[in-house]
Amino acid sequence: MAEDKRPAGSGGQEQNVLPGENGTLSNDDGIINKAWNFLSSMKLGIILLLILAVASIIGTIWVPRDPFTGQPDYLKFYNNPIFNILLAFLSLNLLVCSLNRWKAIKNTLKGPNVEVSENFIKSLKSGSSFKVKSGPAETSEEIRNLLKKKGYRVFGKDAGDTYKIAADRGHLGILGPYLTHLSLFIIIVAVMIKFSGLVGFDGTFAGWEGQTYSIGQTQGIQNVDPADFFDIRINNFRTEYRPDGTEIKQWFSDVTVIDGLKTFDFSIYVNKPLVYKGMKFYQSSYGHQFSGKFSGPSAKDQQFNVAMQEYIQPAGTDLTFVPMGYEDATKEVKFRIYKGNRWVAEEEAVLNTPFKYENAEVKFENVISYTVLSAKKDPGVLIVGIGSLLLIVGIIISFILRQRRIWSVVVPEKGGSLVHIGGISAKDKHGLDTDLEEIAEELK
Amino acid sequence: MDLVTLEQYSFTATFIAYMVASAIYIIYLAYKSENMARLGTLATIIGFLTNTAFLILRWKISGHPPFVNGYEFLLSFTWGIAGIYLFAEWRYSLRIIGAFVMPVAWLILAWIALKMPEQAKTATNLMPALQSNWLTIHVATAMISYGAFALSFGTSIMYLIKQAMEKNRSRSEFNRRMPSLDLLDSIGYKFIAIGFPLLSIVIISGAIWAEYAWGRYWSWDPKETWSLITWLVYAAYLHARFTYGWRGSKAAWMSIVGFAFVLFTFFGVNYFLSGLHSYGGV
Ligand code: HEM
Repeated sequence: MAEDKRPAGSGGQEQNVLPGENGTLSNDDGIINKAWNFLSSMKLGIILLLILAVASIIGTIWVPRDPFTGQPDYLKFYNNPIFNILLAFLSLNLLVCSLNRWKAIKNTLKGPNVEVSENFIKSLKSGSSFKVKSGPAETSEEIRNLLKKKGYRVFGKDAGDTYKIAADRGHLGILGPYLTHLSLFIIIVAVMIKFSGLVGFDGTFAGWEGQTYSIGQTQGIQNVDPADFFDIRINNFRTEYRPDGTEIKQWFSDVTVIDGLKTFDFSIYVNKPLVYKGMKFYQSSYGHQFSGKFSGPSAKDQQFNVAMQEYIQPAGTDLTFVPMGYEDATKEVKFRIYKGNRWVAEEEAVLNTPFKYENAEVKFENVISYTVLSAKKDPGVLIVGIGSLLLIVGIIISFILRQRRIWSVVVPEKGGSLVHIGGISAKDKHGLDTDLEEIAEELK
Repeated sequence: MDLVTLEQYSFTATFIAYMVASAIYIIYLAYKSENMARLGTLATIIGFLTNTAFLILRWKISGHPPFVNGYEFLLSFTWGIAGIYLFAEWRYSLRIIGAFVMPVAWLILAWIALKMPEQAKTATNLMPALQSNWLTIHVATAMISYGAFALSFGTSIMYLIKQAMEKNRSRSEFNRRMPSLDLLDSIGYKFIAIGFPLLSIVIISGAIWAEYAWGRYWSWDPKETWSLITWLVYAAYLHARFTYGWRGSKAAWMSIVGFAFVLFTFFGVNYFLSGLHSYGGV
């Protein structure tokens, strides 16, 4: 009973949609209709997904490089117009497909059509026909009750002696893919608007400790009304080291935001951007300028003023001191020592304490630091965020709420009635078959 | 005994347990003995427990969730494979699937033992950008998602083998014991239906993390891009299955390609693509 009559693993078309339900009306021939049908087709959708996959693969293998630094520039490939046209097509496809399906969705939400024939039920892959002893009115009432007990919405119609019943459950599940597709559409549009450069910006805000800068000085700033400019004072840039003293735990920029009369302090660190007036400032880079004195056998108390990773070479030695970092908490300068080309030591020295190595001496007297923040404004982020959330919700709905539909026609027969019952479930055939079997058991 | 030694023991124990489990399941293909197969399950459970112990010890040693370097990630991955496999075995009472899934977990550990340099295995502190709860969500969902894809991969291989045997009208005992094509196809689909939503969460939590750390939710770096490619392939699988009724061998092949991409996201991107990049003097 209720068994799948297909040959095992035939790979044949599953019965997921009823005729006319899939939204593609093939009897229209106008060019506009043809274009519309093409744009809304899932075939185009699948092809686009696969083309995008292939294009993305190419972008990870053939990586354009920055001609000066030789660094890989991943964005360049994907900012290419062709790639973006593909994305635009996908979003159009999703939109048109969703619009097309709206009517079918509305019908599904209203409930299955009761007016079906016995032959329709007999043609369903899941189902059976059998005789029962009770009369049609009683039998159909019992079927309704059984369906209701199993959580189905039940619709019915009696035409004389023939009783027709339609029922479904999990119908809200069809909203899942709908929500997912619209969310994806919105995400792609938000991403493309950002790429167009019409809104927001990606810039760099850099400055020395102790100084105040207007955000108007941000490199790359655009699409911001000058009336919205405010100032940022950089109070301190600090590096926090782990107890071992060499590994970096976190970088902080302590700043004060000054907006007219309103001021407040904020510590920016990696994973904790400053967000103000729709603009965000992320810890991105930093640097120090070190000054002090150094001595060697042939020259005493020379002044130096160098940046991180620059060289201090005491005359008369083959030694090079290279400052690498600074720890605010302990006032220690971290530096490396090279002898000729060979790296011989990794050391620390507290400010204003002379440090001797072989016949050379350095004394770091002062350090001043600058911080580099990447500054950006992207009104699309919120939209992309909400879109992503809804996309996930939609996917989860579509896999958890699995629609099942059941139809039944009960006709009188000598000594009782004849029941035709069958159903469709695209994603939960097993659950449907169990329901049908149980109902048949109860009735017999 | 100190924690680091214990952790090394737990790796070795997991390695041996998955190896024994794989061997037993493979022998079980040819030689039907339910008692022996139960030993396979036992070995898998033991391996799963020692794998769990490894992750907990690593968490204790490093002070952060064990999801940071490649070593930690791969042991999370094998944990996901073994866990999902045990779930599937319990759900379908089919030990024969073990022969096609547990070797994947064992081969990953074998690869670590043979190829991974020692310094890549040590517990490290978190660099600033990695100190985020989103990273934890990111990897925790990845391990289950990838485990589910591995299971679907296993049943897809079984599908293709079974199909070839059916075509040749094989009357062998082996063919008789393999689950039906329909069942294999439907298990393959169900686990993709588990893996796909989780993979979506993996990608989105990664994007949220990147947004907090760098102010850029998507930067098309190869790892990100490969996880997107994998997602696109599984999305195509679901749609082709739904509308065109692409089941059976076509679906099986797509599931195999999808899992190959899952593996590439880790191994290929880390060892093949970065090799390509390294000449740039990064
Ligand atoms: C990466 C992009 C996409 C994602 C993540 C996505 C997601 C989904 C999901 C999760 C389902 C439910 C599938 C199932 O339960 O087996 C679904 C169904 C569907 N998708 Fe997509 N989709 C995408 C792209 C597309 C595109 C481009 C089209 C083109 C028209 C499309 C058309 C459909 C249709 C018609 C259904 C069946 C809908 C229904 O049952 O009401 N999808 N999609």
